[in-house]
This record gives sequence, C-alpha cells and structure tokens, in this order.
Amino acid sequence: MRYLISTLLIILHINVAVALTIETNHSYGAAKTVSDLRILSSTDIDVFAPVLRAYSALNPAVSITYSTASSSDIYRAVSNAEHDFHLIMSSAMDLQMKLVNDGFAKPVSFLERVNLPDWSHWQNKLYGFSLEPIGMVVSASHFNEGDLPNTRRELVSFLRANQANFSRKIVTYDVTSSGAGFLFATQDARQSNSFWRLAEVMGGLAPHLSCCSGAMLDAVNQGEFLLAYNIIGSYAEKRSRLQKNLRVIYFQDYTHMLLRTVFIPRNVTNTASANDFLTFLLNDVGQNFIEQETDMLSLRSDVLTDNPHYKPIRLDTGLLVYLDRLKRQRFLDEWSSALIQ
Amino acid sequence: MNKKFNLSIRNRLLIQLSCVAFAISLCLFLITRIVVLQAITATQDGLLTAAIQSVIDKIYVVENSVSVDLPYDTFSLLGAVGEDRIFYRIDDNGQFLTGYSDFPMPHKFGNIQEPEFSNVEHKGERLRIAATENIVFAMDKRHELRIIIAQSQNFQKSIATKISSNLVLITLFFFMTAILFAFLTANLTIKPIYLFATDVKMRGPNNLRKVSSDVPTELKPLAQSLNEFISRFRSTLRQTETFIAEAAHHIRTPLSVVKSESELALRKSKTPENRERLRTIIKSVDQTNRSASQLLDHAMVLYRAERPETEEFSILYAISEIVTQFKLAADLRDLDLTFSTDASPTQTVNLDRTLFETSVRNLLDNALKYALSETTIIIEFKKTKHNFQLTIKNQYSSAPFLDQKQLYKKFKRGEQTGEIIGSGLGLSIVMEAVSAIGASIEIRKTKGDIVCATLLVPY
Repeated sequence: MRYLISTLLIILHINVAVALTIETNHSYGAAKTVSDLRILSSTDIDVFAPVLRAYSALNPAVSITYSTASSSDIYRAVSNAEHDFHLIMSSAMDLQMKLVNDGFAKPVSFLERVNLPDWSHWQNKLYGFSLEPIGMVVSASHFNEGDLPNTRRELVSFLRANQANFSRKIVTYDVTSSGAGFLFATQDARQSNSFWRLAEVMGGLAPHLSCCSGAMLDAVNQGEFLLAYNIIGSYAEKRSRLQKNLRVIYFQDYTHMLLRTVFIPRNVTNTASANDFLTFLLNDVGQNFIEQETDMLSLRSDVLTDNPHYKPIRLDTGLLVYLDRLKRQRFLDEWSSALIQ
Repeated sequence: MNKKFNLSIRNRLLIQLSCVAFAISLCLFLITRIVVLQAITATQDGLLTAAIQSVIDKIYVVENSVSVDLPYDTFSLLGAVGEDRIFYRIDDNGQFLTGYSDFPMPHKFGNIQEPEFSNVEHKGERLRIAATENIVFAMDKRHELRIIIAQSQNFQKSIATKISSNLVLITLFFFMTAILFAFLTANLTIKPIYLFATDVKMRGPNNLRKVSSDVPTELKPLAQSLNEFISRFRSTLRQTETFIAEAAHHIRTPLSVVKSESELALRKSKTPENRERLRTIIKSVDQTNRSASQLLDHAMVLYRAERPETEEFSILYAISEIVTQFKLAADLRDLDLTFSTDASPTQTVNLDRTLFETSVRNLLDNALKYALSETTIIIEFKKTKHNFQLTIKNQYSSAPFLDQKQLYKKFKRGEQTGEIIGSGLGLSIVMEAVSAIGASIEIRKTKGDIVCATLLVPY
C-alpha cells in the first residue's frame, strides 16, 4: 500500500495534469491484448492476489489486469476521467466517498442476490469488501510482555516514562503526504481527545514521519524504530509472520476498522465484467474466501461482534469533511504543531 | 324507453355511489400524498437548516480572515437517512472560500434562522438547497459569508415511496369499504320501494283496500295517487254492483206479478195453444227470475269479497244445514241425497260464512239441476292433511265435456243444459266466493258419467 504526495495537491484544487503512475501490473486468466477486466487498486498485489487467482480459476476465459497506484493518484485519475479501468479499489475511504458523491461512480447491478451489511455500502455505488483493523506495531525485542500498552492512555504513560528510550524511535505516517495516514489521523482526532495528547507526547520524542507502511514495518523489524503507530492490520500481520521481531497491537480503547471500497467508474461503458467480479467479491463465496484465505477480514467477520472496541469507520458523507480545504489545513496545522516540534 | 332508463334504481345508486367513492378515494390519495411530500420536504428543510446553523457555529476568525471548521457529525447525519449526496459552498465577500467551486450560487439567500430554499439540478441529480447569508467581522473588516448546503432527495424519494405504497393499500381499503357501504345504502334505500311494490303486487284481484300510507315521504304522492285511484275505482264498481242489484230487484217484483198472472191465466185457459204459450211465458219468467237472483247473489259475493266478515263457525254444521235444506228439492226431483263425513263438529274455520255457504249452495244447486233423475247425489266431507275437502258427485245421463276455461265464465252455460233453467252465473259466483275465502274449487268428470266437484277449504 502506498499513498503518495499528490493527495494534498488535489485537495488544494491545484489541477496539475499529471499522468497516472502505475506502480505494478499483474495479469490473470486468459491472455488477451486488451483485458476484459481492468482493476485499478491501491491494495498491494501480495494481499489481493489470492482473490484474483480464485476468481480466475472460476472464470478462466476472463483476462484480468490488476494495476496498483497510490490512492491519491487513483483519485486524480478518476476525477479527471483519465483512465480506462472497470473497477476502482482503494483503502482511502474518504477519497472514494468524495468521488462517488461527486458523481464519478455507476450503480452496480448484481447478478445474484447479495447480502451485505447496511454499513458496508453507500447507495448502490460504493461497496466495502474487506475490513482492516488499524493497529500499532512494536519491535518485540525491545518490550517486556508486561509492558505492552493496551490503550492509548497506557501508551502515553509508557512513552512519558521511557522518553530516553523512545526518542527518535517512533515512526508514523506523514499525514501531509499519505492519504491513508491522513484518514487514520483524522478519525483518531474525531474519536478521542487522547489522540492529541498522544500526538504531543510523540512530537516530544521527535518521531520519524514516513510515507508508506512497508518501509515503516521493515524499519521496526530491524530495530531502527521501536514503534510504528497506525498501521493497516493485514500488512502488519503478514509481515509479522515473516519478520519475527514484529508484534502487532490493537488498542482496547478503540481500534478503527478501515473499509476497503470499490466502485465502477462512470465512464465504463460495458459493466458486465465488473458486475460479475463484484458479485463474486461480495457474495458468500468471495467473502468466505477473503475471510479464510487472505490476510484481510471479510464483512461478515466475527471480529466485530467479538470485539466491541473495534469500530468500523463509517462509510458516509461525514468523510467529506476532512477533505474540505479549510478543515484539512486546520487539521494539518494542528498536527504539525503537535508532531513536529 | 332507452336502456339507461331501464336500469334499476339500486344499480343506478350503486354506480353513482361507487363513482363518488372512487373520486373521494382518488382525492384522498392525491391530497395525502401531497401533504406527505410537503411534510418530507419540511423535514428535509429542517435538517438543512440545522446543518447550516451548525456550519455557521463553526465559523471562526483567524487574524483578519475567516475560516470554517466543518462539523463532521452534521455531514454524517445529512447523508444518514437516504444516503444522500451532499454539496456545499462558502463564499466570502463574493470570493470562493471553500467547498465545491463549480456549484452555482442561487440568487436569494436567507438568514440563519430561515435559510432560503430552492431546488436545482446539478450533476444529474435533483438537489434541495439551503442558502444563508451571514455577516462576520474580522479585525473590523466586514465579511459577508454566503453559505449553501445542497442535498439530493433520495431520502425524500425513499420515504415517499414507502408511504405511497402504504397509502395505496389504505386508499384501496377505504374504496372497498365505501363500495360495501354503497351496496348497503343502495339496498336500504330501495327496501321501502321494494316493500311497497311487493305490498301492491301481493294483493288479490278483488282486494281494493287502500295501500298502506306508511311509506317514505318520496313515495307518499305515489301511494296517495294509487289510493285515490283505488277509491275511485271502488266507488265506480260499487255503483255498478248496486245498479245491477237494484235492477235485478226491480225486475223480480214485476216478474212475480207476471208469473202469478200467467199461472192464473194458464188455469183458466182452455185452448191448448194458449196454455202452451202461457207455459213458455212462465218458463221465461222463471229463467229471468233466476238470473235476477243470481245477479243479486253475484253482487253480494263481490261486495263481501271486498270486505269479508270473518267469523269462527263449525264447518260441518254449516254444510249439514245446507244439505238438509236441499233434501226437499232433491225429493221433488226424485233424487237421493247422501251425506257422509268423518269430520268432527268441533272443527271450526275462520272465514266469511255467507261466502262459504253461497259457494256450497250454488254447487248443490247445480248438482240437483243437472243430476239424472232417480240417481244419488253423493256428498262427502272430510278432513285431509292440509284442507277440509267437500266432494259433491252427481250422475249425468252422459256427462258433458268440461272446458275448464269456459266453466267459470259469466253467462256461459254448458253444452247439455237444454231445458234446464239457469243463468250461467252459478259457477262464476262459486269461483268469486271461493277465491275470496282463500279456498279452491275443482270440477271434473269421472268414470260412469259422474261429475265431481271438489271444494278445498284451508284450515
């Protein structure tokens, strides 16, 4: 998952015509010059590949191209209609919401009855397909089991008590450049005042600000940093299995659940392949596959009912608010003054 | 008469009431729908007003400029009910400040309490706009902030659709109920007319009593006219009957004089020719006299049929008395009269005795007149399951063909009446009397040239 710098530029209405930067391209199914189903996504191929393989196994005649780009690039490409993709996937819920609200999505017509929780979609255009808890990753070798903080309040106390150890050893998203980081930080600020206290404390420890979760996880694993705050669960879990020094913590005061969302862009003329893929992705077969075979959580995951402190970020028009020019500037000013001291 | 005129009043009422019910149902549906839509619009306006107010609350001054801290929850709530799209724009002194710069500003703006509402089509969506103008001072500089919040109308549509489908059911139920009431009303309305018509229809041919005046006001003129008509008819009829009776009476008196004078002349007459003529005269006088008597009887029967005077009497006694009276006449004609019965004298009937006796008397009279000499007239009276049955049998030399159609007609006589004196009124009197008391008569020929008259009197 990568969130690139251009988000801010877009929100500031600086419409610089920059071509869409595709980071990776992967093909599945039948080899064709022009693919039947072209997906533009911000989700790393490592995480999403099992789903594509499963769909391709069921539909071998369909040729699929899965292209990844940063969520802000995706936003810009869709809002300028400079693309020819059938599906737009992104974890930046707010940007996706804005695109759909502004009329860049088409209604989805499912090929069969699909049972979805009400909170997982907006109108019949924007659909969430997986849940991601947002957590903290620590370098296990630097923590005693009993010292691990379970709430933000405990984290604040812990950091205050161990200032010397954690100075310059904390890493988090640079919200000015990362769309996902911005979303997590704004939802934190909305959820609880303790976020700003934590930001102040972290700011006092001269944190490192990073663009991407992969880089943060690598750095923590190597002991370069001891603590990475606001990391997407699926990436962290996947890395922690390979990199044994990583320990993922989900706070018990609240843990936000990100909804990865998908929509069919307005300029798609033939929506058949997109509708078919969405039907697979959201029906029982697809959702059970996501739950059992990938690092993502399905919409029907028991995690929500078992853990009342897991709070899905609501997929509604409230998400538009932090994309407002003034609101965003105000938030960034406060965030900067807290984190960058 | 055209077809429409023939349509029954009940069906007419039903059609008219159904049309009215349909019209009312339709109005009810449309009016309720309009009211519901107004209510939904008012709710949406209320929501937009609250949203604009909460945005205004979040306006703050930074140095010499103004800024807005958009309220998250307000925007969240705006889209909560119908997943509505939201657009907003804030201008500061005519300059775009934040929101959707391409959103067209309306011409009119309200104040904080009462925003100006309008509808606009934007990006393929019909939107409801709330527009407010608000003045803010920052470092003595006047800032005229124009704030608009626009919301799509999914919320309105979804609620309107839900309510409309319920409304259709309610309207349908109302319509069906109205139809049911229309049906009941039509039946209730038609009932007095039906009763009146049945009352008139059920009365017998000789029933000339007034129809009941206990009818609805609308039918009173009809009942009144009918009663006046009956009254006139009755008076005409009575005049005719009185006239006939009086005429008969007036004829009878001079006739008896003619008869007695003729008999005197016959006794004194010497020539056989004169005696023969006188006999013819006497016979004609008898004939005329009998006709006059029958006419009187007939008039009496008609009169009593109109207002029968019912009384309770022993039917067996009444018949026995008549039979006794006829014994002498029978002897004179060399006829034997046998009377048998299995009925009890205590069994009574409740009807006009005179009419009953007149009919029995006329039947016996006929039997005596036409019976073959030196035969027996058999009279039987018994009680059957439903009636009292009186049978009179007499033997003919050769019994005539009995044309049931002609039998009871006035002044019609049978084929073999020959020399027998008669007016042709006897059976017609019997018929009138019998129908007046609710009895029935049957005369038929049986084996051995026997004519059998059966009178059935209900209990």
